[in-house]
Amino acid sequence: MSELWIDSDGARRASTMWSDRGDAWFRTQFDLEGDFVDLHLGGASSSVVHSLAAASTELWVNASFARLVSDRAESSDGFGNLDLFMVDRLRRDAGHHAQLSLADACAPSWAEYSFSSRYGDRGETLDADVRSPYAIFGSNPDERGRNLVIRALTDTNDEVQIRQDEFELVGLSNGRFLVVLPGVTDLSSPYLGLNDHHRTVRDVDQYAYPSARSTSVADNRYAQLVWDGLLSAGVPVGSELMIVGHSYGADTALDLAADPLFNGSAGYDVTHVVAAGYHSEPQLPHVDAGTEVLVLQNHRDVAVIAEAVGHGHVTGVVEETKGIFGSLFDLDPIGTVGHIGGSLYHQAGAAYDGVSYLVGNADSIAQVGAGVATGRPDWVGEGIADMVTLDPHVSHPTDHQIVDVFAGGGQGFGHHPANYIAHITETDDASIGAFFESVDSAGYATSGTAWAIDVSTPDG
Amino acid sequence: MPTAAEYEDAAGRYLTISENLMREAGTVAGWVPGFVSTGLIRASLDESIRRISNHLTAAGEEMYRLARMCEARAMVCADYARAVLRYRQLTFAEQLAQGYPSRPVTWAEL
Repeated sequence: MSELWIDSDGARRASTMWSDRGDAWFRTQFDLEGDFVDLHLGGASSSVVHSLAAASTELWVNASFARLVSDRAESSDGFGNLDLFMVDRLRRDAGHHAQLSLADACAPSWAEYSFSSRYGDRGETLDADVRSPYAIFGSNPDERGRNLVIRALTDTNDEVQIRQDEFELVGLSNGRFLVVLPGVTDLSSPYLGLNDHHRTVRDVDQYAYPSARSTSVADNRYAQLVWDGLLSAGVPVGSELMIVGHSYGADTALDLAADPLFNGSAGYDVTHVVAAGYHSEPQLPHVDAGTEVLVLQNHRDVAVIAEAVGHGHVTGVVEETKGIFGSLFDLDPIGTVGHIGGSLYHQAGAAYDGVSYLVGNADSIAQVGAGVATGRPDWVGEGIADMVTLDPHVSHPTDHQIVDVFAGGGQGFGHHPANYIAHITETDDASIGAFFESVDSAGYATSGTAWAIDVSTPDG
Repeated sequence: MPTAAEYEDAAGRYLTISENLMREAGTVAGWVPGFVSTGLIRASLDESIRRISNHLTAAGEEMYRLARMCEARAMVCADYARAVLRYRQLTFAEQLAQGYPSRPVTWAEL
């Protein structure tokens, strides 16, 4: 057997270059696919789309392999003495399962790998496509942990990386796994029933709403399909997992972490969860005590507020507040005043929470009243915006749970992942910093192979 | 529906993409995964790189073909637009006699 040597620095450089190049080709393919539809070139274009996707996918697998080699070389002494058999195992690990391994890349069947249209597709449920791999950098554990969560949340909003009918699974070079769960696809453009084209499980009215009424996997079809997806992808039972979710993905992340079959001795070991953009408080008491949880809520995230209202008993107040908005947009000053009156009535008539709400928002209510009286819609708008925000603060329901309500940006009515990413970048709260450090020390802030798993709801 | 101008624009872009992809294919073909010594792993990577280069070449050739197709479609759209323009310049009686120019293909727009 010939002597094997590997230059780990060179492997890392190659991995970065290959990964970037694969990203560029895949984005070109993604853009062209849309272009071809607009120009009615669909039928004629399939081969170029397929060729670019194939080139990207194969290069990403190589990049993952090179990164894996470099990580392993740095984490073990005497890597240069490993024999070819060991490195062949690494190659298989890089591919994670046979369908995606480098070994199979050498086989004629490689050309038959699957890849998903940019528009998603009906069927192919639980199919796995290779996507741009993870390579997390940082000068200290806190920074590496943040960068991992930032990358994951960025992917939740990137349809090149995660299509509308997919979630992301990352097989890390140390045997752990990261699960990235994006939110619903039709929040800003509601579509009653499942989308005919891809039947994604990430659907507001069909799956997210029913799930919101409970903390159980039994009521969460997204969670069920993610669970099936992990098993289908060959994630070994007992593996350590970190889950990052946004919106309905955050709900699903905590539903899974709260399920003793999923997060327990017979299932997986969910060590960390980041739940962004969801009213997660009702789920927290059900989550296993050993799981570290960070809940992130933008104080002006309308989805979080709406969910909170659904669980609270100040519905009348908020319904009236929504009425104020509606009347305002309809240029109906009488209606606006009427709704403000109704809001005040509800606040005064509600029990403890309502009174607190009234006192806490007295200035805003006064500003709205003055704005209506003097014809200053900007005052009205500012006052209302203040009335329907959460109170920024960091709380710790348990030693292993953090709820961070922060004063963030307004992109996408406060719900867009960009608001959360900006906050993660800048927050200096010590307990949140410690959470990110624990993400790194647990081994998640490293490199890994990414797959997108299809979660189209099966027909029939 | 796409117009002649949109097809002309696409043809130009696709030619550029085709040239870039062919250039990339050549660059990739020259990659040497020097971080690993010769042997099974190296052979596997070399073979993979060759395959990637072939995929890019195929994509580049296909983009060139699509660029030419877009040029041809632009001409069809332009001919159709000219026919409609000529029709509009006719008298009412002549328009009645000749009839509105029929769309030559489903994807043609003025």
